[in-house]
Amino acid sequence: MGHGRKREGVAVPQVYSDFLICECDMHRGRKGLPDDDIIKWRNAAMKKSRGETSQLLRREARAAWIMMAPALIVLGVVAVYPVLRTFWISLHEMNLKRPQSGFPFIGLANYAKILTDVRAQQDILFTFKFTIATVLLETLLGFATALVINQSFRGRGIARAAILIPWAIPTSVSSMMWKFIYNDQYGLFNDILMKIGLIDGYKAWLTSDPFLCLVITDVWKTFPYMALLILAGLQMLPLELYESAMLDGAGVIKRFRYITLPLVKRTVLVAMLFRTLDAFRVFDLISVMTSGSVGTESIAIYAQKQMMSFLNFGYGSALAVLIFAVVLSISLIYMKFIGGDMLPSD
Amino acid sequence: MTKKIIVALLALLLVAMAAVAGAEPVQLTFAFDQGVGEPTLKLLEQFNATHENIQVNSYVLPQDANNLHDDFVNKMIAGDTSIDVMALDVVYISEFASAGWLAELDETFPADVLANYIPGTIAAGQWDGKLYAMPWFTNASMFFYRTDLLEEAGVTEVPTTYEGWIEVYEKLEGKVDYAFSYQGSSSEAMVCSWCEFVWNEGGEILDAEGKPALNTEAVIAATDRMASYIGKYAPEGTTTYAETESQQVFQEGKALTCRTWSGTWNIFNNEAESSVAGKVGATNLPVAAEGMTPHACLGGLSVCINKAISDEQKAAALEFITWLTSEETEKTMTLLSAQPPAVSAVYSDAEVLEAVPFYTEFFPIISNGKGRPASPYYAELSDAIQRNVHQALTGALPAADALNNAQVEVSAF
Amino acid sequence: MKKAKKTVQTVAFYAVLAVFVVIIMLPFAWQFLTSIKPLNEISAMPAIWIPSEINVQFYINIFTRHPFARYMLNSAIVAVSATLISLIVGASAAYALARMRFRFRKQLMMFILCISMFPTIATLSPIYLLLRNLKLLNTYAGLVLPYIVFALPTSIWLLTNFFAQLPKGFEEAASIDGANWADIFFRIMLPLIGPAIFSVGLLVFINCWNEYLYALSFMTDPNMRTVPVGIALLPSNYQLPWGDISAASVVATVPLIVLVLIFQKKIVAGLTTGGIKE
Repeated sequence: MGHGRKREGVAVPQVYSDFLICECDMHRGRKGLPDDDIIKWRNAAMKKSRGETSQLLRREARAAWIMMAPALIVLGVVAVYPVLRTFWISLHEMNLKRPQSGFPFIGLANYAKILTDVRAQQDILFTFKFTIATVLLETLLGFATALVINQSFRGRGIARAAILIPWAIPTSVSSMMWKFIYNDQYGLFNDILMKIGLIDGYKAWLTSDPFLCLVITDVWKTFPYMALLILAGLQMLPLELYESAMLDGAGVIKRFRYITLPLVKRTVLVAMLFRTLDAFRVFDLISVMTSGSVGTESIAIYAQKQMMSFLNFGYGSALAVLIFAVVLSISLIYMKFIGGDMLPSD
Repeated sequence: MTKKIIVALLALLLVAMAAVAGAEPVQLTFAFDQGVGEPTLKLLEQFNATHENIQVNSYVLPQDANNLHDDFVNKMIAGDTSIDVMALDVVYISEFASAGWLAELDETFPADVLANYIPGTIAAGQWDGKLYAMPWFTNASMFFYRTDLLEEAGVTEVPTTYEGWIEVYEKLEGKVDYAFSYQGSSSEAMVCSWCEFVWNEGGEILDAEGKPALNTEAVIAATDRMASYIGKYAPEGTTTYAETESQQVFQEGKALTCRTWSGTWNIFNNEAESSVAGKVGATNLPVAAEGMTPHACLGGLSVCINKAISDEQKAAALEFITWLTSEETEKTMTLLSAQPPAVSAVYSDAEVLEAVPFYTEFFPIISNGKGRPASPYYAELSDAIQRNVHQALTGALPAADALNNAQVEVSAF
Repeated sequence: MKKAKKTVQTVAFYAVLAVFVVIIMLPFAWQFLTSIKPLNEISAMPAIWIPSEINVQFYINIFTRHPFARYMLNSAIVAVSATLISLIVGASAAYALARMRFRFRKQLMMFILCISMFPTIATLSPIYLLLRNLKLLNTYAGLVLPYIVFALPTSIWLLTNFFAQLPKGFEEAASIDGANWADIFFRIMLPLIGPAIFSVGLLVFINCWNEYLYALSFMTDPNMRTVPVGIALLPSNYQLPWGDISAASVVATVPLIVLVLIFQKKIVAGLTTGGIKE
């Protein structure tokens, strides 16, 4: 909690160790853990043992690798091969419709082609626009929703379930559903806007305002993801912090600013990171709703087109690697903000 | 503990389905899409019951043409032999043939056999002078119209030109919202509809050498026409419509006419779904000027054989597609599915005519039908048309500019 | 006075909440209404909101004319296995990353993240080859394996973050006491991040339940199809059976809603309400 330490007035680490101790106390006498153990741990925690021997560290490292082994094996077996293969293909001229070419190695020529491909550049620009708009809106809406459903009120369970519904409907179905909603003849969007007097005639929204349509649909579909993760983050906050802050006379806004925000910041950033990765690779939604027309072609749609429609695997793979590179850079920026304090120092 | 996790993981990996046991007859797998799913399953039952040496299994994919194409591509790249025979959309055959994925069929189907089929359907299965696919069934678009409205307007002769239909629409003075309903979204449906506008304006998509020529005068005029009707004689949302949406407008009684595939006849005339049932007629697509020959866009599926399978499999596969594309089977298929057959003689079969009376008028339509350009680069061409023509249809660019852009793009390959 | 103010606040709170929930639910509600409408009211213009009579034919269709019971069973087996395995595998890796000291941690985190950076389509054909060579096509394991892979980066990152939030010194104390890593992990740490586990699990489950492209490509046997592929198999030529599709997606969504209702108590039960649970 590197940042918490610097915030005025709230001594996070102190509260945390207090909290740990009080946690131990709370569980004394509960089933499962013998009292003696708890007391031992409590005392040990208060002492904060330091200076382990190198042997202990080695044992810890070995245990860590064992615990990570299943994940690394699965990832290594299934995920590494496709990734390396895509890189390799991107260095070849490989149009499956021209097997007689022998698919020669051409170095970085496919990448050079991207630099002169106006369509790829426009697609990247659009994808950035789409990613920024949706991730920001989803984060704001998701955060607000999480704060609300974190309150205790009657009907909270129902509200929680209801809010997850958009995320639960398969994308292929919900994109189709929204396409109908935006229809110029019988779409609900027109019906509702007309009834509340916002428009005076039905419009073909998917060609008049395609960006708006796509953003609305994507935000509707994925803000529950943000809400659920941020809610989990909120649930992890120790109540004791709020209690002591309240005793100090901190108001709602102050508590949000100095306790909630710094403590869930990292959760929000991690959730945003994954949303960004997804949004930048957006495919299904656009392919069903506009199929990339009216300037809404995402770079993933273009890569898919090059590969699967044009069978140009070399260039398509280069576009896939480009997506990878862009997303990697975005991730590195996020890493800066998430900070090293997520991981213990070596 | 970690051990336990690994053991659990391995156990899960082993929950494998039993492999299909190899049996005496040759096992073939026929891949097709759900669009013709039910009738095809019935056909396969028939085949399996009458052929002891071959057992055909079905592999059904979603109806979406892209799904099917992409799934096949994945399997072909992998040199997969899990599919022996596939039913492929006519526009993809050149592409697959050029990639070396399809077996040649010339030996089994000599010229005198091919003469029984509608010429356009055979041409669609050829690439570089060789035959790679046999037509299974074909398809053509038709121009559906409201017989009751024609009567109401006091028109006795069905119009043949765009102007003629607009005249009828104007005579109706608002009794119907739109004169036309066609497809203008960025999709293959729009490409078909657009090709027809071009052909019926007297234009062509390929020049004399077979190269795309998208910015000729006639193509520009046709695109202008297609764009100018939108928002005036056709719904504003036409630029978002594929077949379903445009059919819906017609089914709900909002349009005088509708351009769509012939098989929609049954739906338009089904009272449970259509509020215009019993008031629907079908005719040739309109042309720009009196006396021109109308052309409809051809579609349909052809069957082809995976080149990677063994010779034994291939021999069985050839026997199967010979049966599937025979006159008799095509007739059965037509009766089961209302899909227009590729064998000419079926159109004049008495039993078929009794079941599908409009085939008398439909046969000339399909005989005058034209295929979309057959080229390994069809996907690129279609993509260029979709994006650029769509810009003209939405009014983002004048038709001439949009088509010049398209021409630059397609000249690159 | 104070009481009146509180009542106004409560009413306003519920009003805002209700409007919000209605907007969120609207498309689903519309779909549900579509699934019980008579055929001729589905595409009526202008739209008919409330059906004139309730029609259950679409629900009968999807279970009798299409094997949706089988699809749901397949989806359930695949999604449950993938979720459980990726949670166990992911949580143990996340725990090591967040709370144990060894080298290359940051590089490992980045490596894991990289898996999520490729467009799905680029991975499809190589994974197909791999599964074919492992003879895993048309098996549950053949779908579970890639699902785990694509659930792992999210699970590991999120859980690492949550583990890192737990107070320090806890396991040091326990290990001095002789408890081994597995004990600390399963008996103490895992329950402590319970709400996070359930939230992440729910997200992974929903993702697996709704996945389409891999399911379509790796499960070619009609008996092994999953729900999203089943829904895509509904349309035939010339026609979009919107009634059947609506009924099918309602049927596909309801189990998830039930799951949320069951688990939502777990999602909120965490540190705030009392820590270690059995």
